[in-house]
Amino acid sequence: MKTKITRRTTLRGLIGGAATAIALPRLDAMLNGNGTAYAAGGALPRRFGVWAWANGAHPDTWFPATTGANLALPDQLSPLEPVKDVMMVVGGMLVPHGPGRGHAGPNTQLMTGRATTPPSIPTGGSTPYTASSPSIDQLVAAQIGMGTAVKSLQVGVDKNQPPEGGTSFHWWSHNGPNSPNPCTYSCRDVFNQLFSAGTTASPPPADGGTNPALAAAKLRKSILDAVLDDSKDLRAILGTSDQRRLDQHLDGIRSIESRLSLMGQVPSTASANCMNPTAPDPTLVGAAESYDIKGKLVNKTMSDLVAMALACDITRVFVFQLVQPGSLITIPSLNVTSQYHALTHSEWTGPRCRSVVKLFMSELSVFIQTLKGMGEAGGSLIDNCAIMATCDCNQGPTHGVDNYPILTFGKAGGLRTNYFYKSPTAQNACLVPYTLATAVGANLGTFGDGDGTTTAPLAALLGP
Amino acid sequence: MAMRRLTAASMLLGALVVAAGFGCRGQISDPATSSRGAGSAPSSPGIGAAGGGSGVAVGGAGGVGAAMPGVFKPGPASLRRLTTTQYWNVITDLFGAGAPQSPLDPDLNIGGFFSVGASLVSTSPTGVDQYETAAQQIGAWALADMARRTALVGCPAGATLDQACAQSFLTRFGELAFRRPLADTEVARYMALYQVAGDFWTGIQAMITGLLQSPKFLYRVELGVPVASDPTTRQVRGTEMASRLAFLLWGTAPDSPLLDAALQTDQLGTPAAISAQVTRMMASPKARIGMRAFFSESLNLQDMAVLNDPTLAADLHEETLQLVDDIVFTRNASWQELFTSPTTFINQNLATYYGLAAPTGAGFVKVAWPATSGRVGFLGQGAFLVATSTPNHQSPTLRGKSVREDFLCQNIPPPPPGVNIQFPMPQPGNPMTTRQLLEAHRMNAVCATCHKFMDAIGVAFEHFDFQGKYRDKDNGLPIDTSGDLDGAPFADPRGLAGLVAARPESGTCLVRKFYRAAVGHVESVDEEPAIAALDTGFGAAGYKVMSLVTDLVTSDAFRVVSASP
Repeated sequence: MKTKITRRTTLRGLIGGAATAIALPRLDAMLNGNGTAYAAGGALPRRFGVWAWANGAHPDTWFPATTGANLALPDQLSPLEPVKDVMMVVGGMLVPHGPGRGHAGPNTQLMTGRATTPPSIPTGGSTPYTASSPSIDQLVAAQIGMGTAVKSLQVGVDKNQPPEGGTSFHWWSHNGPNSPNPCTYSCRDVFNQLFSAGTTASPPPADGGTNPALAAAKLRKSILDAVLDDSKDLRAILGTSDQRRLDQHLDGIRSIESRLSLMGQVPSTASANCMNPTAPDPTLVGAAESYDIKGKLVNKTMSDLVAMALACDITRVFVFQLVQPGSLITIPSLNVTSQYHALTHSEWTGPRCRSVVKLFMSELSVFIQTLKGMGEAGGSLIDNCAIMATCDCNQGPTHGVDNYPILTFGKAGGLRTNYFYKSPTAQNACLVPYTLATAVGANLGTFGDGDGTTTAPLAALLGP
Repeated sequence: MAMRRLTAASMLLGALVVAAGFGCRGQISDPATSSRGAGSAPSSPGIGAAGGGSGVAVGGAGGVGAAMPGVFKPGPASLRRLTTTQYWNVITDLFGAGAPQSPLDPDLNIGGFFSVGASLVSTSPTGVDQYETAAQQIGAWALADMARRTALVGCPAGATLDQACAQSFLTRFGELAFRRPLADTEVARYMALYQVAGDFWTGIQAMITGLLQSPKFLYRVELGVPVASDPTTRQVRGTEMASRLAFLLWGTAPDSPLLDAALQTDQLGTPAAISAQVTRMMASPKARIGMRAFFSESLNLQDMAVLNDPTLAADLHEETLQLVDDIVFTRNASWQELFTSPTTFINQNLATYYGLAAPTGAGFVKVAWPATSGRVGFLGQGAFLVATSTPNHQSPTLRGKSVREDFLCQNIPPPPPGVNIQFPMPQPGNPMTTRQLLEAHRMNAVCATCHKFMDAIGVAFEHFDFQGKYRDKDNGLPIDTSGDLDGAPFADPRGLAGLVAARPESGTCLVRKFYRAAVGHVESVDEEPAIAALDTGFGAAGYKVMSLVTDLVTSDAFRVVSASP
């Protein structure tokens, strides 16, 4: 391995001590002379991700002072100094379809290019805002994630959630209206989903993973077959909308089956550093509690798990929600002892809110550093990633959609790095995720509608 | 609930307002633009501007721009996914208490109710994984203990553990899991799984794990049977009606007596047959527990995070549910008492919280509010006062909004986009009361159009801080709690509570919410006649919830559905 970060370094963040089930690393000899692809000829996988924080950022202390190359990071972005060589700041862009939906609009509008459902004023006793169409991570996963064991992964860290009912208030990833992909908050559950089915070289660990061992996989498949079979006569009597709901459920069962069929196999596209990590402590669960209790530990552990899932090519698409939209996070160590969201409405420009945004950037930096530290093909895993990090509105008190704070990470497809692109004309912000999607090889055609209509990547985000 | 002021938390009806952008125009509660059915009395003075300036109307979601509704047409029946609470209730019924609980796909709240979201939500791939994990863990747990598994399988003592025993278990257990007898093909399918498994107990476990993952278990299939005279409607009867009743009243699946009744000749196909079961069901302790979900959601008891005290939040939640239990079940009294009750229920923790004499035991006891407390009914309880506060401040605006939206089912639109809704702070050296600070809303014409409907009644609660505790002064200044509800003056929160209780909308609002929870969707304008009829019956019965329950479940609204889209 050519990077100084070893897999041992990577695993250090995983709770449970020394790794006990370590796969043999894939040897660099298997790579071609350029270190870009496996000798067998398959291209290295590219990965697409979205990382979300909440309640906006302060433009005066978040955006760099000067545009173009060689980022000089202002205070709130300073925690990202170690990863600025793989980072681009994007400013001046406008999330389409306007403000007016609090924390439930801009995130979904950016991810779908469309207005939420309902489009303006909700009809109901609460706010049932939801996505009108699949979000871009799912569109990308449908193109680049289908051969992997887990088509897309959604993880969360802090679970202080707003009381609103609409799915847009909680989740960034949607399959369609009222069909969110909620985050998993338990590190052990994420681990089980990714590793204990034995998708990597080692058999599942024996320390209490809830899935049955390899020997039981055959019976497990028989049970799932019976459930699928049992659903046929039900499907036949349903109306079309219920059929769609049922079909999605049955697709979920089929995806468990396809994961079972991959048991014990290492994808030929897995990175040299792929291995089964040790099962995280079951108490490492993102919760609705003070972030000081274990937030940073959960964030680091989730970061490790996602990094390893990407390295093993178990998944190529992820959404990582540090917090939920309109987050009610509390961080007593920053003197934020009651809901952060309320604080953004009472003292947005004060030092406490600024310190929270800076903490979010610091946690983002932990995640990106984890990816960057994972060696791959003579470089780093991050080289083959295209990740967008952004939030649920531009600034907490106004819920606006202009001059939207967006970061990108990774070099997939020639994305610019160490660069500040400031849109001169308040361009459609969907250009950013669309360009990242293109960078990982997804062809989305026409995305979104109205002022969110996006048909081609933005060349300015790509390197010379 | 801090978030609620920031977001479009309310229903906005009337094309006029939509066309005009944002804001409340004219008078709230204009029946001429209301979607409510005939029989709802005009509720406020000054409604002469019908069709002109009126924009904000009461009523259900489906009634945008609606004229008076005509003939009742039932809403669609959709697959309703078991809520998380229902799922674990059913597991307890099937296996006994103590099964290992694991995370499930989150419920969806639509129109205030998880039971409505259950008709719309789709299960995520992760959620499907979670159902598998839960089924595996429950199956393993149920069979791990010798006594438990022997009782579960239920074959006679000394009987051979063979295929016949397995099939008798499947037939009995499957009927409870699917809430109807299994078809022969289903028995064959799951017995085939038993055969594949190899040995008896592995086979039983495989069948349980499969049944618990079947969509026929995870979703309620209550699609009705075609009605010969009308191809657009279907009647719900038999085991489907049993399931509807059980989940509404008990929050769980039907028990054997209910399924037996459903399978007998009349198949719960007549109001009389349903009524007989409802009498039995409402007398069961399961109804008191099962209907808690409805009242908890209906009264917005879920969010008291501003307290930063989960124990106190849980106690305040319990206090309200005990009051509801006393009114609805113990005394079968008028729903209006929710607002006017001179008594409440406290434990030792709440005695400290309210500054009342502590009860001797650990449980809740009924006590009278002291006259000096200023409190009465639910609007005097901590649960209401806390849930309508921000973390640092009580909010007359949120409290007034809650009274309008949650108890009168009126609709206040959200603030216009881009407006900074930061709460105004007094300038140093110039102390002001919250009431005085809120004058800013009244002075700004844009703000005033809506805020006059909220602030003018929310000030009634100014003696209670954001933790719901009594305070004598506000910022060192005397407190003025007087105001008016659409022109009817009140001096204090007790006066306001009496006005709210006397408004017919407070009854209609409960009817509307119960209707939503029962049918599992937000009502369309075609369903308004049913709500109007139930409302009339509710009033005639002295606003007794027991009567409303029976009226609703025996009405066409609950027994007939439209063909699923």
